[in-house]
Amino acid sequence: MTAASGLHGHLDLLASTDGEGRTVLRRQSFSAPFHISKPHHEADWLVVNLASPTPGLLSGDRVKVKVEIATGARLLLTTPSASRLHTMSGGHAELTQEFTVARDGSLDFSPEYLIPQRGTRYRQRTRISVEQGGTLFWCESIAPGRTASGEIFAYEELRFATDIFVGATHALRERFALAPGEAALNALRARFSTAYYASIVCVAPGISAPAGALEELHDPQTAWVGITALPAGGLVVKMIAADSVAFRDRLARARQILYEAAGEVMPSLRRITGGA
Amino acid sequence: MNWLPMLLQTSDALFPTGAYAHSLGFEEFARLADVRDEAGLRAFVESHLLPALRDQELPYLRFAHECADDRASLCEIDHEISAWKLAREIRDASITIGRRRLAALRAVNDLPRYSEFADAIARGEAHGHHLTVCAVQAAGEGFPLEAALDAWFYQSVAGACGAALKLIRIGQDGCQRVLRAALAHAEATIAASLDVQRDEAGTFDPLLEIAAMRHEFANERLFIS
Repeated sequence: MTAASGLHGHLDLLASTDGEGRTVLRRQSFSAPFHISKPHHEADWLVVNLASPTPGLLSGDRVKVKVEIATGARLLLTTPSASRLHTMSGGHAELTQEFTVARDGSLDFSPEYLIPQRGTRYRQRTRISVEQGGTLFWCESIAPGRTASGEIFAYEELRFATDIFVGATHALRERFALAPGEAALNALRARFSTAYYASIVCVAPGISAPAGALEELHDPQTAWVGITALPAGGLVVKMIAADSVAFRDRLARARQILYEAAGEVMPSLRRITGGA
Repeated sequence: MNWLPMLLQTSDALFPTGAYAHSLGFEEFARLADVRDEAGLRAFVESHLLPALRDQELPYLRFAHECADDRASLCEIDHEISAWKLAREIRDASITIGRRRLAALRAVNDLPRYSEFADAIARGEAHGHHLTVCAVQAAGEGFPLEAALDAWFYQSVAGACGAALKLIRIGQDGCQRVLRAALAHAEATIAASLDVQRDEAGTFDPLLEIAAMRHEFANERLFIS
């Protein structure tokens, strides 16, 4: 598929509260490749599953996501399965995401991991703004490829740009390009030949690093896990796991630990494939 | 070349920045990844330090140098550095070393530029990251950009080698061989860094990042970071 035939899709959501304080989607608009499930409530969260008929992105796709969380609203946005970045013979796919969380609003964005297939080229740009007093659980995870069929680190290039602001503070800035053959990626592969990667950011009023609980997730042979505090007081967990089993286990447990540290009850992601 | 003596003086380990007390993640990385000898140190430098220098640190030194006369832009870069130094110990180390460098510079040659930046730090407009202070210094002392980049490259690799002397089974000669091998990449690394645009400057190294995070909670530690 060439760049000219790509989809230009979008997802636009505004979550706010109704007269009884329950979260509702005040605004929802989407187009292919996006489709959302019928939302349901769980543990005071409105859970929205983001589905894609593709499922995933093809060369030439340009998709935009805009999600706003108003004061008091609590939205969990997830996906029912992994998102594939399909094999591309030319061009690239692009995802631009913008999330805003108002004071006393809460967003949990926990999609399943990305699976970059052979030859894929992908660019992702994410900007998240959390007002002081807002809560954010944000997870990004990347598989090495279609490991079951032996397609490992066969993608062409993945580019990520992420900025998170908490209040006026630029709390996190990441820019990286993953391309097989690069020294840092080679070093990663030398230690974990099928490395799964995750970055989890948690911003919540008064949260402190649950380093002791997270220590139980770390194992030098199967999963490296670290946690640290961001400049604005949030936390970030970084994780590398040797395989998908260890990865899913650590990711689910890390999520639980962060929820507990934030004093929150964790809603289920209700995935058939696992996870919390 | 009037600037050269000052560059040498302030790039030397004798210059009191306190950098010797930091491994910047290497201590925990060596423990986790079993870096034990000269070959391991060389692999660490080539696989972790050099990519970070090329794609992130040297570009940011250049960005800061380019706006050294524009305090608002300089402070913005300084805050941006805080945002990409994810591990708290690494971020704090960068600020501590930067502020100590600034204080030491003011002790030997108190240029108005230095006192103005120190005032900006005192007012909370900047953190005083080491990269930013080195850019202020380069502008103040008239170092050519390339010389400033060379000095940063050298200090970064020499710092890791200095930490390695205390952490692994390696002697002075082994460290010098690793340093020499890394310096052979300096010209190409610096040249490549000049092509990195600000919006793209960054690196992917979760292993070192995780190690730096874990150092904060380690029970045994020789270095501050």
